[in-house]
Amino acid sequence: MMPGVDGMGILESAQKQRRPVPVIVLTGHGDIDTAVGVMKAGASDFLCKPISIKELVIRIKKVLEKAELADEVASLRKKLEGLNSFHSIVGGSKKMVEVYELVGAVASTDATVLVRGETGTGKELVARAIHNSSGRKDDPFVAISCTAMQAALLESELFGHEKGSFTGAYAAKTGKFESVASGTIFLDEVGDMPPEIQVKLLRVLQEREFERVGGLKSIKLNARVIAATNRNLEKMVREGRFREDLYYRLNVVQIDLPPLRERPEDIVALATHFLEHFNRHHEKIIEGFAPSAIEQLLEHYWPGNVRELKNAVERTVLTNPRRWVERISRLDAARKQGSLFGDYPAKLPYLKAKETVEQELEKTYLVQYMKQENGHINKVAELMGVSMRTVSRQLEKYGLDKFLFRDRQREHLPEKLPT
Amino acid sequence: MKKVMVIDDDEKAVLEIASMLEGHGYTAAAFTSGIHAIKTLEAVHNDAGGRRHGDT
Repeated sequence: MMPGVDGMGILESAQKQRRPVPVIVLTGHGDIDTAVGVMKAGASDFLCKPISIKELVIRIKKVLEKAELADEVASLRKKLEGLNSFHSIVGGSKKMVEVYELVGAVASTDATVLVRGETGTGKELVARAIHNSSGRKDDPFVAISCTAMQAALLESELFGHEKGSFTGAYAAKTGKFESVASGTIFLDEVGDMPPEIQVKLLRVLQEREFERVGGLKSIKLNARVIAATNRNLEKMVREGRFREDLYYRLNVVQIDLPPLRERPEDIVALATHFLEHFNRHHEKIIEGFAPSAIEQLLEHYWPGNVRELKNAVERTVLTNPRRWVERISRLDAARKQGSLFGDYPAKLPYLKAKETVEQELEKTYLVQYMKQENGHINKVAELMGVSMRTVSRQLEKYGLDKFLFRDRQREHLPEKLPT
Repeated sequence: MKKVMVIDDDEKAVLEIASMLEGHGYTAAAFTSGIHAIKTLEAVHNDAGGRRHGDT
């Protein structure tokens, strides 16, 4: 026994380092219980006394090689994550790459941008990406939602007010347009902006100046404006609910964010990204998604898009008791059924609906057969009556890897995978 | 340089193992006190900003 601390204490301390140090335990007790005990405690290897120095050197070499490989895997994972994401936006699908290209192209300009997309598609993330890629990145990024706010309150929030300009204005207030200075102002849900504020916003965009409510002094606008909406602004213009001149002022450059169902190849990458995030956040160690969970993720219609996926993964991380997620918590089954032949496609134009249903069908069969055949592409190709190349292409399209479907392989994974 | 710590209460054994590992190209340090070993490990780690390839 060593003074102060024993072998297990040293082992524990080695694991607690910022990057764990590999430990080989030399023990005088060669029984299985001791071996299991030290390996469980985090030892990389163990040897029974009396030891052969030749054997020890071989084991040290192996342990070091393993540690180097783990480092390499971690570094490659990080690189891969970089390839699949852009300024915190995850997704390497063709549609998202087009978005990234557009963001890159407009970032260096001062053009007003209109970001369009369904709720939960990440419109604010795109606005932030433009800001962070622009020359204004060291200036503030200010976001304001124009929805559910009374006209007077929104006006005061945007332009500020002078003391005594209305009942309750006990002190002067700086508005968002003023506080953002030379940064970027993000007007979220601009389609919900009351008509009287639409006029004021139009003037700001045209004249590049504004006044506080109750104020006389004109203030120069130095900020860049990015707006976003999930509304059909063209229809609102036709119905007279949104000013046409403002529509054209805002829509200098338009970025359309695809809904999640139109980029199924990003679903698994996004889910994995959120799993890692919530593992860290909630101090969990869930390794990944089992084929059954992946099937569920791909079958779901995701009407709430990335936000819904993020919430579903967080809920699952909090409630999943195993190392692998077998089932995504509380995914609405009705939405799953609706995704194939139910109401959702009927709400879409015919060609879009056809494409959606075809994709759903392709995905459903692919996942089902891959699961059934344990991820063997040749067998799946035979069952589907297509070439192995087609199966591989489909897997790539939906962001899947054949190894995700290898149940047996998962069973043999070590208790803790290198990260 | 690959660094190895040899820790045991048997002074003769740790010195012998450390010396033999040196002969195989490792930089080996022998410890008979667990506390001293941990303190050294932490000091080396904090200096280096984490484990480098070849530390065990």
